[in-house]
Amino acid sequence: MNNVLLEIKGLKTYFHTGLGTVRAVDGVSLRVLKGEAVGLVGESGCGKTMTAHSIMKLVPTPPGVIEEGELWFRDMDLLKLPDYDMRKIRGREISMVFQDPMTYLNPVMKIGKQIAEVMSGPPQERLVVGLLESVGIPEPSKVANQYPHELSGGMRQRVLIAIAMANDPALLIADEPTTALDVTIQAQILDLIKTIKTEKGTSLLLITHDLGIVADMCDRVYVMYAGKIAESGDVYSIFEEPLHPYTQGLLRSSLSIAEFRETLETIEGTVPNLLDPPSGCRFHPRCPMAMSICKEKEPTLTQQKPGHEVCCWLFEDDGQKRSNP
Amino acid sequence: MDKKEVILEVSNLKKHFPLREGFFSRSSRSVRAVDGISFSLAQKETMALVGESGCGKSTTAKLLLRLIEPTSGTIRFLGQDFLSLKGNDLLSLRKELQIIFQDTLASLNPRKTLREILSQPFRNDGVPTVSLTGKVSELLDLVGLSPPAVYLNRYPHELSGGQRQRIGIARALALRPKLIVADEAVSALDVSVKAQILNLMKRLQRQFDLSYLFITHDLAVVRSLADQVAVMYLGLIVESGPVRQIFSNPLHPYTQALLSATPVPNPRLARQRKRMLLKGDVPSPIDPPKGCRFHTRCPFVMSRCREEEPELKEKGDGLAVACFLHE
Repeated sequence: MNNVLLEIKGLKTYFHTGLGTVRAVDGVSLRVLKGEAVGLVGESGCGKTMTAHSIMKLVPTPPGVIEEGELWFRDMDLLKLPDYDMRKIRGREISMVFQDPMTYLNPVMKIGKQIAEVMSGPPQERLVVGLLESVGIPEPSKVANQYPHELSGGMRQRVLIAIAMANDPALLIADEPTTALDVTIQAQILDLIKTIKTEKGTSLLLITHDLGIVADMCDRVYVMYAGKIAESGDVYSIFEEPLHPYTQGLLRSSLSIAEFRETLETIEGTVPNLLDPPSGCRFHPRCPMAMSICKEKEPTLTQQKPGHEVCCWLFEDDGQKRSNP
Repeated sequence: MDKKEVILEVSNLKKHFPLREGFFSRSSRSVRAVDGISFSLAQKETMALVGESGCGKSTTAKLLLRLIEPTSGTIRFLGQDFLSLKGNDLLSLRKELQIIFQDTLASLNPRKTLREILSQPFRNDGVPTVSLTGKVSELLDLVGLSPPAVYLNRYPHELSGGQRQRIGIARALALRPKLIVADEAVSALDVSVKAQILNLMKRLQRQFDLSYLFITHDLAVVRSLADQVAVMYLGLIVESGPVRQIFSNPLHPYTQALLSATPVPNPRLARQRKRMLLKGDVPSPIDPPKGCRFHTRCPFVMSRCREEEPELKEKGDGLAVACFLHE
């Protein structure tokens, strides 16, 4: 298991609010290998972002608490790591790119200074400019002397990627990195992330709601629903032989420019409130195949074929498909 | 398509926003948000206006509703010169033209119940108060919020995003308009909910013979909903025509780039297809590039493109493109 870079085991991140406990991440296990691109997909409010923030130990506390689980990065359990050591991991070993670069860039500090700040060793203008150049910023020495508001959305995202890549991290977590961007700019940024990945061998954990981006970028996929992993597998088995009814519904309801459908298939209902999630399998109120057991007992994640796991009562431990009563 | 009755005809529509700059707020320059666009829309038809941010698609929506007045150009709606109408004539024609917005939290009054929100269009139209509850219930039913009694006294914040968009649609539908302008109406919704709303809009279109003008940046939505599409870039239409044709054989390099940049949820297809990456950002509409506005990013740019501006020319079958490659 030497090629495992990140291994999350049974992670639970809860938010204790005045209204009750929100179980945003509720027993998530996930693995990222060296050099691998892993996608974490799901609809809004399913806990994707909180999973990422938990990895970085950036969960706002209070009200958020990482209740349980293990976060193995190389041979360290990040959850047991003191804050001082964690700071050496963040931005050096694991770094993150966010959806809204304007929120994460300091509006009153020049771009070049913000980049120099994260670099280890004495700041060197040459290195900063080289870094800006490597993320495809035209006129890098001019941009280094500009402020974030002077740049376009795509350029700001490139700056954020430059900051994330400044220390050659082993793992890059990208949380909806292109959601706020126009399609042609999105294509540029995705292309840049791909290039970085191949050139530097960085592992990628890509969080998105867009199945198209996952299909294009990722080797393996985890599908999340209401704080839990519903299904995981390599990208081809997830898209071509999805097992979980939620994955199937998600794929059938995604629109594509490649085909026209007269009536679109949908998943009825909406994502449940995590303050009071449904009993048993959390997907059962929306599931077209729901059985009586689904309301009563929670299914567990079981392996169906090598590398393809699903959390659904339709699949027993022996891999036999249950008949729908 | 020619047999259908044309209900909306836009010609050479322009909107320039003057910039306030200089010592005495003298404005010499302006943002050319919409810079001379023409299109027409037939009854029961859906036309999509696509483009990236800043291309002028939302300004076009506002112009069509006369929420802002154009700099020049004409809009004919249901056979009348929409821009010259005033007073009661304008009000009665406006009933036929409604809008759905992207941000439902901003476009629905948070202090009013759904009953009040959905009663408003009827009140404006002089419908007697006694029949309002019945009419509102009927609307809620139509958009799939049933039983209506459950929803009548709720507030917008108590609903999910998808349900709120259903209210937005119900409000637009109240006075049975001929044309609904949908400005990024499904962009903020999750995948599964987006499909629900698109299905609803398709059903309502058949039921009430509606025309839609769908303003979006999402080409996958266009593919599943629209009959006609017009692609905008920096305030101009660069290509327009039937969706099926344009998606299978895009002529303008910008349309080609947009299509190739849109991710497809199919790993094999996604890895096989050739990507056409555009350089740089969209230029500012304050000083759009000389000649063809796309020339700064176009992979096929010729010297002529930097000098002359190509016109939108008919190519037959309702197709039109503004590019020197296709002259």
